[in-house]
Amino acid sequence: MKDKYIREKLTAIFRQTLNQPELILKENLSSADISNWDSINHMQLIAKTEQEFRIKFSLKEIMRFRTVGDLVKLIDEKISDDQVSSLSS
Amino acid sequence: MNHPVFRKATIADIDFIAEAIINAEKSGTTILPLCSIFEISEDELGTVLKNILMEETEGCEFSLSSFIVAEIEGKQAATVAGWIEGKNEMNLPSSIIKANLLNYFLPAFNINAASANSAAIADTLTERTAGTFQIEYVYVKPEYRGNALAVKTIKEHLKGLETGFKAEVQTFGNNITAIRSYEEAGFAITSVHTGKNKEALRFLPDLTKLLMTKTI
Repeated sequence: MKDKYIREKLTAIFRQTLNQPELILKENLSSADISNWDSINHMQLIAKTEQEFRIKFSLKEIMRFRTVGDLVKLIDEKISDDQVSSLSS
Repeated sequence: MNHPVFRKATIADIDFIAEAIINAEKSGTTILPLCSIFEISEDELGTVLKNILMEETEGCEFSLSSFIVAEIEGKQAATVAGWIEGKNEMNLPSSIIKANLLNYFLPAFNINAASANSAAIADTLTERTAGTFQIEYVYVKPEYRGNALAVKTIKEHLKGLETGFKAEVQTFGNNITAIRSYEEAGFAITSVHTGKNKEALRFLPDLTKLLMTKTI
């Protein structure tokens, strides 16, 4: 349930931020794959992710974000199943 | 003037490197893109840059390890940043490393301001080529200008590269001084990109960006 929740929310964030309404988030999707995943949109992806999941990444953590799969893993490490229940209610 | 002594930048150089970044960003104009895009004052930017440099993150133009400092008689005279694009622990593009650093140290207001301003500059942004040596933030203190220090410091960066390696530098089209220095260092213009949105001139020194390259 946690993984599904994370991916659904991230899909919405990525689609809105990158202006790609049909975007499918694959594990290895990175800035190399999408032309307007530029530095400023990358900052928005992080900011919106932190806001959506009510988390704050350390600098070390955010430097591990190269692909969508990396970001899912980072979020998974920071939120519990209880938090997912709370966030989704 | 005595011959310059070149060395890698250290934490002790942070104030000088921040000064270099700010002045180099202006490209000989009064416009400071980092300030105008992120709606931050020059003083605030100076503080942010110092905090970023203290992190000693590798792989971009905000990395202390990217900078070579030229000293004259023991004083900081010039500096240039250089790194191999994409060569870092996570193989991240330098633009993403820079974005991560700015995102971490800037308040949400400034990140949101940049997002709102980004549409105007979107078609002037140019990517760096993975695997090439990037030159950025060339700065010579005013009192040391006229001694080819920029050229000498750039060449110092290129010394360690293997024959056949490709180096790139991007510069705004109106930065004639920088273009001349790069040409003296052996770079040639290989592409010219002019943005169409004149709104971008609120944030950038020029609409035209040149890519200059050199094969070692």
